[in-house]
Amino acid sequence: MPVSPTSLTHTSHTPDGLHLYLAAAPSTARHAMLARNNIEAQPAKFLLSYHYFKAMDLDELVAGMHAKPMVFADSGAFSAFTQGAEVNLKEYAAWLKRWSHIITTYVNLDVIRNATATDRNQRALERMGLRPIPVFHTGSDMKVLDRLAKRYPYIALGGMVGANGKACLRWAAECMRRTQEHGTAFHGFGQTRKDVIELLPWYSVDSSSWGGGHRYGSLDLWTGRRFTKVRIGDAKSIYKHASAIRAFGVDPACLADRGRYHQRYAIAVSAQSWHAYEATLRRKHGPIKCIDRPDGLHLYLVDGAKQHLQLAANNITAETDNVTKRGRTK
Amino acid sequence: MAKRDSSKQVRKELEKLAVPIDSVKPHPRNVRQGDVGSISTSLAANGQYRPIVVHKSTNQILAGNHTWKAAKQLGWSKIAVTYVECSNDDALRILLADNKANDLATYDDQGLLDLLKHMVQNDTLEGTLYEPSDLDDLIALLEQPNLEQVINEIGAPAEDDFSGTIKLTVTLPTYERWQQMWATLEGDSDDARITNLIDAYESHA
Repeated sequence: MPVSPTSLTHTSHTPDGLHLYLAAAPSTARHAMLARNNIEAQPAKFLLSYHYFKAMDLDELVAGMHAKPMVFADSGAFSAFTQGAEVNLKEYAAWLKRWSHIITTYVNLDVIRNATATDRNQRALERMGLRPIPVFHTGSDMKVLDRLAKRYPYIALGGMVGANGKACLRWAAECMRRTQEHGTAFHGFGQTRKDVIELLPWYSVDSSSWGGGHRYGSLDLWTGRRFTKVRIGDAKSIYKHASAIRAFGVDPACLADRGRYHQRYAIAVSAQSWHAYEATLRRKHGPIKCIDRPDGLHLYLVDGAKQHLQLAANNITAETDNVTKRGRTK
Repeated sequence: MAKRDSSKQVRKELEKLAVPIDSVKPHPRNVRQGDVGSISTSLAANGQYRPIVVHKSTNQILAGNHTWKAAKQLGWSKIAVTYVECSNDDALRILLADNKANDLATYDDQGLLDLLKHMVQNDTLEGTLYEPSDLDDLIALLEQPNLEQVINEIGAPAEDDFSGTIKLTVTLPTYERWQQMWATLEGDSDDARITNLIDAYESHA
């Protein structure tokens, strides 16, 4: 069914038109592939940073999604720091409590390169009745990690963004090796580099790189067995992968022809691509366990714009619905 | 590795169905963009192992348009054909459904990996249209990594793994002033000198 671009403007209870298009989309090869490989349906997953979302009504954000997502919250302290701002611990704690019915996982307010201050924040948040995941950074003494692993089943690893990939891989592998006896589950901040997440058994990761299509015109397209980059407006690269794009319910012409392009199409393809990649990683690694939490791996998408997140969620939900239906009729 | 016979054309089992290749023609309304090169590779390696489907009243191909083009490209004079008698509308329906059914097909990836491994072990991937890189992709996708093995391959963390490089471009006078100042800084390494410099700056800031 051809799609005509319509305005993205909508209220919290009036999701934009993209979901109508997807609802009308037939079952596709992608859905069949997921079902045939026994990949279970997963909800949409997002990482929200307090620094960017503190003023947003998260009820309104979620109301614009067709199904409740899993939400991983962090302070965004590093981003705040680079913008000359600071995150207040009490305000962060209040925000976590305010949206506790939406936030499913949250981390400590970490202080980069300062394990003592980071630990102080952890304990302060715990005294306020919260149970944040502790954060351990590159460059910190590994003995700190050893101590954390004795107390916490789930630890977030930070400080890897922008660092050399091999260095990240070696460091994260060492973190996992030395905590094996505790069965620690790990979150990798900003880790969607393929070698790092494909080779190590992360419980969860997050990344903003899924937004390359709607932000910079360089779209990550999952073709079933690998990611390939396609450029918005580059008809040759887009039509080369036309069937993979159609499988996500998008007419390739809407990406190839700038006159028909709207960022919703890039979001539709990219969100479903990363969701399919998550499913592939889950199959590859098998269930990654963490006490009192659903089996990993969980891949959280990062984006600061409400509409982007809602579009992504509703595309993923449409895909998941189809997988579930197919699975039932097998 | 067995050398394959690239002179194969219509396989013996289909010879009774072979007709002059120019007696049938591609359907003018076939919108499928097939990969003729890949089909040529397969025909050369395996011969034609199933007939193409042709609308009897028009001699237009309903299924196998790109197989016909590949055979022409290979210089074949005959091609095996199954004729169907139907209305023009039914012919278009077959044309569309045959293409769409291909779009909807997918794979059991684990089964495919096992099959490709079997082919590699017993013979070769030649004529399958799969490349060794496809096998690598499937292995990367499906096989669970072992942490100890990964660590053995990548090695232990090195001290300078997360070191950064500072590179600045300045004018010559500024560079000369920097050189003079740098020589006065205490410390036995770049890191120690820079740290002292930052400490000094912060204590005056």
